[in-house]
Amino acid sequence: MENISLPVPSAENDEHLIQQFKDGKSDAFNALYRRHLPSVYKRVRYVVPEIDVEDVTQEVFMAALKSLPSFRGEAQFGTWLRTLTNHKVAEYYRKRNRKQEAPQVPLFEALGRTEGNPSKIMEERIILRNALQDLPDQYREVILLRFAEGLQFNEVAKLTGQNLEATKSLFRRAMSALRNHLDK
Amino acid sequence: MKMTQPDKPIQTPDDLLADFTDRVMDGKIAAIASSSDQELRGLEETVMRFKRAFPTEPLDEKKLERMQADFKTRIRKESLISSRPAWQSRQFRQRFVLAFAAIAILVAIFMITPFLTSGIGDVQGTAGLQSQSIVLLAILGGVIVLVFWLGRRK
Repeated sequence: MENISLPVPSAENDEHLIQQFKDGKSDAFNALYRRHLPSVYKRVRYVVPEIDVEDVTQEVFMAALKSLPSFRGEAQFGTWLRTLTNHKVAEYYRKRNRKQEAPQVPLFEALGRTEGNPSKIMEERIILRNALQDLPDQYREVILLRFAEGLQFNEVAKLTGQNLEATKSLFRRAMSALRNHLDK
Repeated sequence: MKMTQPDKPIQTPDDLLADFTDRVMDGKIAAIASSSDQELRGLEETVMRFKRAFPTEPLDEKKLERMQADFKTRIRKESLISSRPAWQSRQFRQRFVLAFAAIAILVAIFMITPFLTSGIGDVQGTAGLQSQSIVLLAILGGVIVLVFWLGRRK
């Protein structure tokens, strides 16, 4: 399988594409989709069961497409998309909790449908994902930015408007809280 | 003369964990540092668990192309739905049923009002009218319950 290295989305390019989209060039959204799909997909994969990752990812972009005309550029597009992703993930869990009467897919069946045989890694992923879901938002966010999106700590600091020390401290507290959840 | 060594910056547990995470994420380290204290070791273990459990390789071109094609199909489907005439939508039909039911209630009230009020003040022969009023009230109640039920149905 050929892996592609997409150019890192820059705010200037995003702004240009958004403007083009607002001017009626619908192809500009395709370019935005291509640029941001990898990061949205990675983030969703950390918090949503494997079987629903693609669906939730597409929902995020559908919501982005609908809301883009009213996007005023007060935040960067990437930040806006990240917030939209978090909303869609929360919505996914709300809907899932409401459908409790629906038969639950057995764990091993769900694993088997996604990546062949159930494995220890997949079980571990489920455990970590559940623990991550139970964390306070700011803890979950710093972990996702570092692990799922692969941002460096200085990039996380810049994005969250904190200094580097505060960001590292937040990360350590977040990992500590996560570990406590895992030990329960 | 005594030589002074330049002060080495003291690394806090926050720095140590952040450095460890950086090295793990860069693939430069595959094991927990043995010199770490117990708490730090526990956190490093959690970092390692994350690294092992979640894939870090980027999306491959094939999958990206397929997802983009799926997305375009979704857009087409959604635009088809939104371009349907309003009267074909479920929401419109639900509203129509509710409006019809509301009109039916108003008509029913209008029709039974004379029966309900004609008994007031009458002294003779009111038993028949009273039982008739009760039946009508029961029907009215039933209609209200039906409208409420229709309104709540998804």
